[in-house]
Amino acid sequence: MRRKLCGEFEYFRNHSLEPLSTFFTYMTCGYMIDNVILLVSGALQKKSVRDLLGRCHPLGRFSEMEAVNIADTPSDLFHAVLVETPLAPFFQDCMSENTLDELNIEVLRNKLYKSYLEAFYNFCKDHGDVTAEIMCPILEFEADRRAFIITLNSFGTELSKDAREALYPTCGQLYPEGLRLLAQAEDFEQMKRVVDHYGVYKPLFEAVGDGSGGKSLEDVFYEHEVKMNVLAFTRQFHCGVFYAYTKLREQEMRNIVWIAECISQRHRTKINSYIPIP
Amino acid sequence: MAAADLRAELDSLLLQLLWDLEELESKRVALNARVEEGWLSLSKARYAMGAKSVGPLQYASRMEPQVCVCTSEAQNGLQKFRVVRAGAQSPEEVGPREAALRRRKGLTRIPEPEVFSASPNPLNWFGILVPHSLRQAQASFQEGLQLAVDMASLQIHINWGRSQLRGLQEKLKQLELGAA
Repeated sequence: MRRKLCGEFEYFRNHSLEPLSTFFTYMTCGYMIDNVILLVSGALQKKSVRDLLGRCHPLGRFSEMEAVNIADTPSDLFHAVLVETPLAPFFQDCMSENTLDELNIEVLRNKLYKSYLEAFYNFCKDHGDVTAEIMCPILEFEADRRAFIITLNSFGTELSKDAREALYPTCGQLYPEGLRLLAQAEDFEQMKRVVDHYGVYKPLFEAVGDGSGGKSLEDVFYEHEVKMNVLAFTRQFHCGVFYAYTKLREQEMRNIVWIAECISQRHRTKINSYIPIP
Repeated sequence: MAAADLRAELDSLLLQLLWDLEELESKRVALNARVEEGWLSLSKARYAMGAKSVGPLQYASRMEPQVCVCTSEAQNGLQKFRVVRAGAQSPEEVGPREAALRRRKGLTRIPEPEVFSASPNPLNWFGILVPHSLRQAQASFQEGLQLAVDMASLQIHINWGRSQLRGLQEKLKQLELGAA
C-alpha cells in the first residue's frame, strides 16, 4: 500500500514546477525526520543498517541515510551527515553535545519536527492565495495537536516542564498563552481547563470517552484532521490538495491495518472503531 | 473410628481440591483476558504511533529480564513460585541462590551470574513520550505474568492434592477390606 502511495507521490512530484516542488520537498521532510530517528534509535539497539533501511518510510529517503548510524551526538549527526540534506535548516536548536540516548532522541525528534512545521507554515503563509487559506489552518491544527499529545504523553515521565515547553511548535492557535498554560498542566483535567478557552478544541476534548470503551484523544484528533483534509478538496488551484490527498491515503492505510489486526485477534466488535473517510 | 476419620479427611481434601480447581479456572480466564487486552492495546498504540514504531525494530534481539520467577519450599514441602524483580536481594537467602529465568513454556533453572543494576523500563525502547495505550499494554502483561505464576503454584498444589486423595482412598479400601 505504501509503495503505491509512494509511486503516486513521485508521479505528482516529477510533473511539478516551482513552487509546488518545494511544497513536495517540505512534505517529505516530515518522513525524513522519522527515518533519521528510526536509524539512530536502531543503532542504539545494535540493529543492522540493512534491516533498518528496509523499514524506513520510502517518501523520506535521502542518499545520506546509510551514514546516520555512525553519529554519537546531534552535532556529529549534523556536521557529518545531514548538512547537505533538506533537514539542515531545522537543526538550529538541536545542536548539543549530549550523547544520543532514549530521552535525547525523543527531544531531538520533537525539536526537529517543531522547526520543520514552523518553516512549512511560513512557506505556506508567504505563498499566500488559496494555498495559505487551506494549509495554514491545517498546519496550525497539527502544531496544536502535537502540543497536546506531547503534554499528555509526558505525564509521569522524566521530561521536565521547561523541556516540554521547548518542544511545542509555535505556529498554532495555542501560541503563546495556551502553550504556557499547557506547559504547567500536570494531568488530563488541567489540560481540559486550558482547552476551555479555545472554542475549536473544546468539543474535541468533550468527545473523548472514559476508560477503554470510548474514543481516545488521538482518535478524536485523527477525525478532525480527516474533516479538514476533506474540505481541502472543495477549493481549486492550490497545493493543499496534494497534502490532503497524501494524509487521507495514510488514514486509509491506518484503517486497513487496524481492521486486519482486529480480525487476527478476533475482536470483530472493535472493527468499526476506525475513522471513515467520506 | 479410623474409617470415619479417614472419610472426614477425604471429604475435606476433596472440597479443597474442588476449591483449588475453581480458582485455577478463574485465574485462567483472567489471564486470557489480560493477554487479549494487552495485544489489543498494542494494536491501538500501533494505530496512534504508526505501524513501524511498535515492532521488532524497537527492541534488541538479546534482552535482560526485569523480573525472575523464584522457587521456594512451603511448609508442606511443596514448591511455590513467586515473581521477584531481577537483582533484588532477599535477606533470608544465604549462599547460592536458585533463580529461574522465565520462558514462555515451562521453567529453566540457570544459576544467576551477577547482580543486575536497576533495569531500565522496556517502555523506553519505544521512546519517552509513549501513548497511554502502550502503558496499558505493559500493565496488562505484568498482571498476566503474576497470574501465570499463581497458576503454576496452584497447579502444583492441585497435583499434590490429587495424589493425597488417591493415597487416602487406597488406605480406606484397605481398612474396609480388613474390617470385612
